[in-house]
Amino acid sequence: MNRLKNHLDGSSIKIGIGMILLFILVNFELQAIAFIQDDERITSVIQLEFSVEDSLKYITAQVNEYNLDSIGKPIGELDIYFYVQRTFSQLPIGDYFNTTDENGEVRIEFPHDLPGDSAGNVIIFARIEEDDMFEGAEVSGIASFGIPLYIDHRANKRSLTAASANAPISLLLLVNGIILAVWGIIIYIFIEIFKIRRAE
Amino acid sequence: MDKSIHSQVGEGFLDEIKDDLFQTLSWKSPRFKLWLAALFIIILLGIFAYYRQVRFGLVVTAMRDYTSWGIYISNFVFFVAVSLIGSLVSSILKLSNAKWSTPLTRISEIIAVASIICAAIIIIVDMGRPDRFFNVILHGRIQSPIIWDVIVIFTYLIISLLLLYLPLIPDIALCRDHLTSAPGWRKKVYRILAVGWKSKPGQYNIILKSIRILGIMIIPVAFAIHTITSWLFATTWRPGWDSTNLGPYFVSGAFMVGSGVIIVAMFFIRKSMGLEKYITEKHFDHMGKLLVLLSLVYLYFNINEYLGPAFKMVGVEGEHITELFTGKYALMYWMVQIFGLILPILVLLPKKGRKPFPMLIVSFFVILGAWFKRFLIVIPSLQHPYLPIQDVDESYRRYFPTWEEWAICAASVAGVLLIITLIMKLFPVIPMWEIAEEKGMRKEDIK
Amino acid sequence: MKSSRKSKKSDRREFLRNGLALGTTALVGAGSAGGCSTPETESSGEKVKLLTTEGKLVEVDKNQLHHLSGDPATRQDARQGIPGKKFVMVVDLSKCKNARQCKVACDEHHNLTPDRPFIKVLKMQDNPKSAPYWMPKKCFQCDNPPCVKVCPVGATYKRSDGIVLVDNVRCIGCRFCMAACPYSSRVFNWGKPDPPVEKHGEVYSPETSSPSTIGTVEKCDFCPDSIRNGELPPCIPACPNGALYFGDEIDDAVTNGFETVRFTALLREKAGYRYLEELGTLPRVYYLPPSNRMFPFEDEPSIESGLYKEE
Repeated sequence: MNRLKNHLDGSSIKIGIGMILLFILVNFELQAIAFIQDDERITSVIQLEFSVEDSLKYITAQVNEYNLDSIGKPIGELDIYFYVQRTFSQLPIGDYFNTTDENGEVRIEFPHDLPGDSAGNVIIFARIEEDDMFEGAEVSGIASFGIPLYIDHRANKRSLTAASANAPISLLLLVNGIILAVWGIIIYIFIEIFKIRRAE
Repeated sequence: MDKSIHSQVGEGFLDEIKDDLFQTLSWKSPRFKLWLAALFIIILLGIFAYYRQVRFGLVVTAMRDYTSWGIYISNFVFFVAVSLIGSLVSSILKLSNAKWSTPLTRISEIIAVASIICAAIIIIVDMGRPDRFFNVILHGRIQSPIIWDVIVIFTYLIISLLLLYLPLIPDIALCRDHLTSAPGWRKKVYRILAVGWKSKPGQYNIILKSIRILGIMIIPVAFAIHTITSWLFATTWRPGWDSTNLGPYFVSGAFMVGSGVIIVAMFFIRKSMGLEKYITEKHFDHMGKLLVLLSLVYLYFNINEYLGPAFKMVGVEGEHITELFTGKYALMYWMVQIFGLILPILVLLPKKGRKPFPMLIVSFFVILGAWFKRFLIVIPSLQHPYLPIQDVDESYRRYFPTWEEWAICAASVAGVLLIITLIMKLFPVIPMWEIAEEKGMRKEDIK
Repeated sequence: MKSSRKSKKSDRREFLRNGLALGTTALVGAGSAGGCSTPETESSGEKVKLLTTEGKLVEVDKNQLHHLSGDPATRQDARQGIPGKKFVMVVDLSKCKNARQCKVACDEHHNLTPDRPFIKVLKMQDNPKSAPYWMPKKCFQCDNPPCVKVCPVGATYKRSDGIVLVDNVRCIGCRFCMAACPYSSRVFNWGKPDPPVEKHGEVYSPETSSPSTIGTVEKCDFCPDSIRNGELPPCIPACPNGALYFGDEIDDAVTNGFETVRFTALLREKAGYRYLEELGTLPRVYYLPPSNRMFPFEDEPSIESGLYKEE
């Protein structure tokens, strides 16, 4: 959360500092910074492809420039971040740095032991983090790369921790058996008491 | 029909017995009224304290998040312990043909019934939401030790009531036939409860058979009731509770305190009701020997209970034992062990110690010691959880019961005494027909 | 979760980008998602990803959503867990600096007074020679819960998603569960609860443990109400040091609000353990040992949170 906030404020702070420095110092480096500050960044587009080779699962991302509704040239030397959707957040997958080669392609291996939904589907994201040169972009896709979900039906099993209806059979037999035996005798005694009045 | 001399002598005894016992059933004596008044005052005070508890919640007690069980629970254990006396005297002693115990059988059953009823009441008092009591029946989980305890307490109550009632029937018939001066409502009670008793042999067969069956059955149930109560503690991980020894420890302690209670009862009954002829010094002698035996058994289990943890001093168990032996609770602990356990053995071993008055004093110590022993079983263990108690109010670290708790506990004791008193004043406290039979009368002639 | 940064520039660019992302998704999705059901017609343009009751991931149009998720379950429904999940928490003791923000967030979320906290941050010291450390402790939601075993009325129960909840309408206040819990996780409403914030008309649900009722027991409930909204329990993101991780064991991922890691990898790499494992309660909260700490141990809370003074 904090990191995000910092990042958002970063650009406005940079603009402010850049303008102040411009007034104070005339320097080629600062002018360069100011130049990049109010320039537009290049829009990019990512395309995902899923493949399986030798029982290893791969995700390939193809990054190209995107000019006026058409896919432009590939972008190399760009870090792509891959994530897989989990319950509350997105789990990073791939290597620490996934950099595109000169064809704008980068390939990562999907972990072989990551669970998916009951059919094994997972949602995969590929993202360009906001960069000085390129705007952020993101794409997501669903692949059957995950291990199918295992739903534990333990809640319905008989145990000491279950609800009353799911008590262990041995406990049920024991307790009910003892109660029946003892109360059977008690009821017999009650019946005998009622016989007293008429006994000889 | 010619009556044997034996029988004529027996009849004379029966008249004597009737005179002696019927006069105990009169409600006119001022001492009786004073006694009732005192009990009622204590009970009213307890009811007021309970009203405050229902209105403001359990916060009026001294229980807090760590010491979440207090003297209500220790009182409950105490009452369950006392109630075992019924099975001891009217069943174990009877089955082993200890004829001297015959006059004591009814007192012990009365005490057992009264104790169990007040144990059930005090456990309801301890509930945070007594308005949801029926959830226990509607949603009861058979896996829970509390449910087992509810079942076994109810069962024991019914069996004890039957064991009180069945041997009482011939005496109720005697009251029905001879207590002409009793008020109308009492006559009605006798008539209904006597279920048409006419001292016929068939009727005697029924009740003698039933008494024998119940007498045998109540022994495992009595063991069960206190062992299951001990499982309320032994199924947890508290130091001092997490012990495999807890079941026998509780049961042996129960028999001991039950004997103490019956000795006190014997003393006061014979004094205030003039029944020295039936509760003789011989009875005190026998009960004294029984109490010594039970104390020795309890001493054995005490040693077992404390030696293991003290030898190992494991973590919180070590802290708990240290607190009992030399710490915050040391005074209470050693007073309880010395006066409540060692003293009875020492005083009652010589024959001189087994006279009524010394035994009364010793029994008081036994009862008091037993009550505080149960306090020591319940509360210190809760103050030593595995995780340290930090960042809480001072009041969470200590437990000293509030006046509401004391009042309610006193009221529960008064309640036991009240039930005992009322039953003893309605029905003869000594089994008349059994005494008459021992004196030689034929059963069919006891009318 | 914010996944793409917004440029302060052109809206057109953003529309294009979004549209492209969706389009690509549809393209790729249609190409490779074998078992997925296809979105229905009558599109609103916004897709939402859902987990069905069989644990399948589907993408549905937002219009298809009715009342799902969001509302905490009723008392009856609360006994069923959220399907296909098994929630788990990891506490990194090497990061906990006693900020107590988890406790503050929890107290606020559940409307608790400071004397009945669900989370306790304890100063622990394993042996006299090792350094003390701070240990946040809440209910461990054990897989073999002693509290559930002993409850006479089934007011506390274990769900299929691993969470142990308390139904305060059924609770009779016998406090056996408090005696049975070896971790002192439970708190009791001894008197009439005095919540800091008056919330009128709040409907009770075991998933919110709120409003408190007198004479009943409460404890940390892993906030199923937040989980149903797709949010983490408030204590997790509240920790400024990122010491608390929360996630799904089946998903095999836990997050502390900053980073997401694989659950099994985290435990393996940092020697995760459970407190008092030998008791056999099988807790669902794991601890990472307080080793390699970058800061010395300080006795005072680093952020004042209005607590009773420690002795």
